[in-house]
Amino acid sequence: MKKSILIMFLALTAGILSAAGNKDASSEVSEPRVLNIYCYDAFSSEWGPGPALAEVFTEQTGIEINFAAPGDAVTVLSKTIMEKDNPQGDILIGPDNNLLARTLAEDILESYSPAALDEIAPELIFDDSHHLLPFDWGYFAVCYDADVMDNPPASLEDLTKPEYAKSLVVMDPRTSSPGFGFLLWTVAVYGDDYLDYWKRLAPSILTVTESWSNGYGLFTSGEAPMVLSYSTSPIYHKMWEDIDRYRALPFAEGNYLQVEGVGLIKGAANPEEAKMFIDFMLSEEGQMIIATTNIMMPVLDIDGLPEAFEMGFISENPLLLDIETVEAGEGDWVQSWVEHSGL
Amino acid sequence: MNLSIDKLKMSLGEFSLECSLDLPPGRLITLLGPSGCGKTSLLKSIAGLYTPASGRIHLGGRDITDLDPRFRKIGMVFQDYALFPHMSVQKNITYGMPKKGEEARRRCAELLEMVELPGFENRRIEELSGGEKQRIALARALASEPDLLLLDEPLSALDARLRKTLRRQIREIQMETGITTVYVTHDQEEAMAISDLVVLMKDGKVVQTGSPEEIYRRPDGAFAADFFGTANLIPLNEAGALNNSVRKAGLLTGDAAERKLFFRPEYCRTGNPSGDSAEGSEEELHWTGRVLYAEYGGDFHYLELDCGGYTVRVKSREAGCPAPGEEMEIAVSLSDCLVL
Amino acid sequence: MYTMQVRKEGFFKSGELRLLPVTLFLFLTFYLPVTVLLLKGLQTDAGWSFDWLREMAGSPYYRRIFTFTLSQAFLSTILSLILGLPGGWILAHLDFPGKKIIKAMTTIPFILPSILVVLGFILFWGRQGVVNAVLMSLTGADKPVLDVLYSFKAILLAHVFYNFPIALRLIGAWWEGLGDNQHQAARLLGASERRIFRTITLPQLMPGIISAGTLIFLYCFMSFAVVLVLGGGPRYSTMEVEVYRLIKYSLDFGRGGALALIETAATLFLTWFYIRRENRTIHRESMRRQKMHWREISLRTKVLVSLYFLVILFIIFGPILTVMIQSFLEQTTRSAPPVLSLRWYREMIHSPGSFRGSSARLLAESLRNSLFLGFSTLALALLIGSYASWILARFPLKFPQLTETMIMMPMGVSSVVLGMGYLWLLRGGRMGAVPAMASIVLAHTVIALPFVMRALTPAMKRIRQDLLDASRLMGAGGIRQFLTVELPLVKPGLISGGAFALAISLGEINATLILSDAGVSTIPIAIYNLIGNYKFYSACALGTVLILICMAAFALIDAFEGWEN
Repeated sequence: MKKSILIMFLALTAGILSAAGNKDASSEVSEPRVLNIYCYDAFSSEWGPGPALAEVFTEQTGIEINFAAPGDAVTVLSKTIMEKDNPQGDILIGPDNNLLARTLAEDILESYSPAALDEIAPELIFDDSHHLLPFDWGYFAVCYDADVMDNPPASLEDLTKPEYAKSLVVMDPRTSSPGFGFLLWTVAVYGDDYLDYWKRLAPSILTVTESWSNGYGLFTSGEAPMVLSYSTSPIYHKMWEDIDRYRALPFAEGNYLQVEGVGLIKGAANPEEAKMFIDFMLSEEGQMIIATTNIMMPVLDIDGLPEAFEMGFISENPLLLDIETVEAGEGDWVQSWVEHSGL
Repeated sequence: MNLSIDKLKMSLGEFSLECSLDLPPGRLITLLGPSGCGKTSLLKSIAGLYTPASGRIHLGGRDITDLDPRFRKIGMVFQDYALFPHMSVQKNITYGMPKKGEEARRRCAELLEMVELPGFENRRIEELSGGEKQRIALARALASEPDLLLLDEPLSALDARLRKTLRRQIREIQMETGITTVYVTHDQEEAMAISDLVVLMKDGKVVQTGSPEEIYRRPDGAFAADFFGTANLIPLNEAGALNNSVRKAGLLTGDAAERKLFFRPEYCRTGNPSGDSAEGSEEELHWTGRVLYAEYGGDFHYLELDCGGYTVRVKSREAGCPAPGEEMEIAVSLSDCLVL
Repeated sequence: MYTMQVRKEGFFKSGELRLLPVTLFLFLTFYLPVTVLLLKGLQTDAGWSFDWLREMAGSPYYRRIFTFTLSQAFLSTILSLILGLPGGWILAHLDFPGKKIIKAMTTIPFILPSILVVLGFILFWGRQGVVNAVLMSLTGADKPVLDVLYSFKAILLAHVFYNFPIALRLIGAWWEGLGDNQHQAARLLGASERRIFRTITLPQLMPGIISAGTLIFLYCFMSFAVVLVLGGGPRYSTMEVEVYRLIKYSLDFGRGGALALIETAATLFLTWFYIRRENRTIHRESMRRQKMHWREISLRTKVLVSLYFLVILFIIFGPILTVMIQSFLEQTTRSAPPVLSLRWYREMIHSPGSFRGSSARLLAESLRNSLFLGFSTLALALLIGSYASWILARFPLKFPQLTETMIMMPMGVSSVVLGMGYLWLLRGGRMGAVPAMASIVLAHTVIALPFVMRALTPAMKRIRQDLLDASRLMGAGGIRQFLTVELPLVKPGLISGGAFALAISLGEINATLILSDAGVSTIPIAIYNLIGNYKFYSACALGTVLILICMAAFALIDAFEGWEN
């Protein structure tokens, strides 16, 4: 029985350790002014914008911030929807333009029109009802490794050329938001013929991953020279690793927009504090933090962005399908893609 | 078939097994010894399940030392029977038969008849009692008509009454088939009852080989005397008065140290054999002892007497069983004694 | 205590009642959240209906996916078993230096987040991978020689990689219990080694093989990321992908629930079938087996064993080692050969892009949380598992197979469903009073319990009745008998089950994220966050740390075993 006693002892010790470690955290929660923010995990992670935003915000206002991040953007949205009748969060961060239809349909957000909205480019304001406010954006873009590829494609059409056989990694639209974005992109460009395009594209695709993380991992480990990602992806490598071999490609047909949104949860306990935080996110300071840690383009025209941001590009022809079209077509598009894309 | 073991050696942890044996064909030979004496290892070496370090084993003149067990034509009954639990009785018995089909089934029925379990063909192993398992294991070992039958403590897991019945059955089957059989046991009574030849072992060595009667009557040393039945072993250097009688009878020559007077308890006569209470006549030894322990055994009483410094064990057929504390006299004929 | 007799009948003395604590635990942590979600598959706006189910069953698309899911799981299972069989023999027959370490290392695939496994596969088998690089330099080809990935082959390879350890361990344990007398008896009866294996060993190993096979099948049946990425596209989709899509991504609980219901029914049936079978073959004695030492075995065996380990090393450790090695390499300039570097480890602690300078505190916390969760899960899963398997083995149950199936069920339910179920359970801060740590331990325990049960129940059932009678006669009834006689007898099962429980907890990520709202960071969560923020090689570095921690933990478990002897 020595073994089980020892295991119990270990578990106990670890328990005491962790209890001691959590004590100060729980006493913080009991402070009067606490803002509960629901966001996706990468946002609140140590390496995301969450902790940095919270630090500055708390310093300025004295309001403590508590992040809840049960998973990716869709999971957070699900959580918020499930709590509709008894909301625990104040702010929802994460749903992008592609999730807008679902978010609005569930009526979980309160409309809010901060002053900063006037300074944001109108094409970024993807929700005219101001339930979801844009806080950063980028394009879906094909990124390539300049070290191994000399003549990158310049358009979606180029991608189908035989010279790019088995060199692109894309994501599954059923399970990943860039994957879904790419599907919408092809629909926006080719309309009803998008499946024909996919059939022509199929030979160029090395594999379809279930998540962006997996796909991008394949790309950086050298397995494929091209990957579906964001127009902003190269900025990270330039800014923090001083590597410029990874580049994002503006395509002739245009690139599909992704705008990430933040919203005020309906029935939130702290609406005033929540508005203060959204205002902070849309301030120059907040935008700078978000841009440099989330590696996305700021929605405000701010000065002093690191040089690396020049690696990102502004598409001459940003693409965005309107909500009604997306809402009506997405189910069919995905299903047809699964069955008939030739992948 | 004749089995000869020539200078077999193998290491068994704390001691090593070393033996040479020549076993006659068609007999039942018992390997007897206390547990851990190496008898099972010897048996498994004969079977080929253990590989000896050196030495040769011949079966019927054929050198089988390096032969794979499956080609040795040896049947074996394991201590736990090692029946295949997922097969029926019939499948177990016919497993090793060279012929299959109807012939095998007929042979199986014969074997079941022989072990007195007719009609057991389709029983499942887990339905069998211990005694039934033992008999099925025996039938299985005999199924392929081996040259040699090995039995590794086949009755040790059974109760006393069943052991007696089954050992008799084993003996009868052995006589009937005439198969050379090596039987491992630690029970001397069992060995005595069924063996043609007993090989007595201790610590990896053969102590004595002989018929049960030979070993019983003329044991080769104190271990053999004591292990093979109940024995009186009286140290001669402690019993000075006995010395003379024994010397006179020519049983003892030389130094008395470390030597013991041996006789079986049942050779003692009790009561008052003669008026002469001296400790030595020409033919007999006499004692007067006080009963320390008495056990009523039905056909005889078992007694232990304090005879002044040493204990004498007696088996008596007298009508009354004496109580502890009583004095009584005993005598044993010198011709029934040995000095070991 | 002393009155615990098998003879007592009636519901109030039945095993079901004694299992009530376990049932309650499973109900709260598993059945409640999952059922709520599954039932949505039977609900439409108009009320209860089979519409969704009918739609799913009627769709050729979903039928095809169902068929593919079954067939890939079946093939993967067969392959894993074939590869595990010789290993099981080795574990049961041989003693050699390093045996424990190798045994421990086979559990590593369980702890690794699937993303690192995929990465390992790509770095090892991929077009630019180790295998191809070696082959290319050997053959002088300028294109990848071996095209393993992005095909059905790759799916099978990855599943074998994941599940072969289950086969190895479970089959090894069964083989050990067979003893060697029957083998010897068959040899003396003239049977060749091949015939002995076919007629004596294999039939009696069958329960163990089926036991391992069921677990493996369930695991492959639920497989998701690996199938999609390594298969190369949507033509290789498992049901789990569709459940993920419908429930998690489209929030279509009706269709998703219906699909999950079909998936669950399939696994439920499978589990039930297997347990029924197992119960029919279980009543055997477990025997001791003399192990041969490495020095004693023949040269041929040595060669074969070494060859086997080479294959294992290649398939299992190849990808893992590549991840570990990768974390120490850095490419300084373009097209320069990689050099040894600790950069990724440095950046793991002092990440570029982090405003707070050092992540050391976070990493220390993750480490502490992971270890605490791992060992708590280990203790709790063994506690509940040994209690439940004891009840199952010793007390009469009205519905024995059904009861066991219910306990095994967490294996057969999609992690997406479980995760969403937890979200539902947590909604509106309903479980605010339960500390996140505690709820995570409970969730991990539920997930690990089937593995512990699988390792323990057969062993528990095989304890001979006379042994129990003996201990009872010596005055050790009830709980004392359980502690002093039965538990020590199932020690191999405890160790094997404990190792799986620890590994599962160390690698779990979905339930942890949902239940803690990311408030409890663990090593795998940190790995995912690193990847999500472009820090791919630091993730490899942290993955290496996780592997090393796991090895240390397994060494610790083995040490407990050693001390007791």
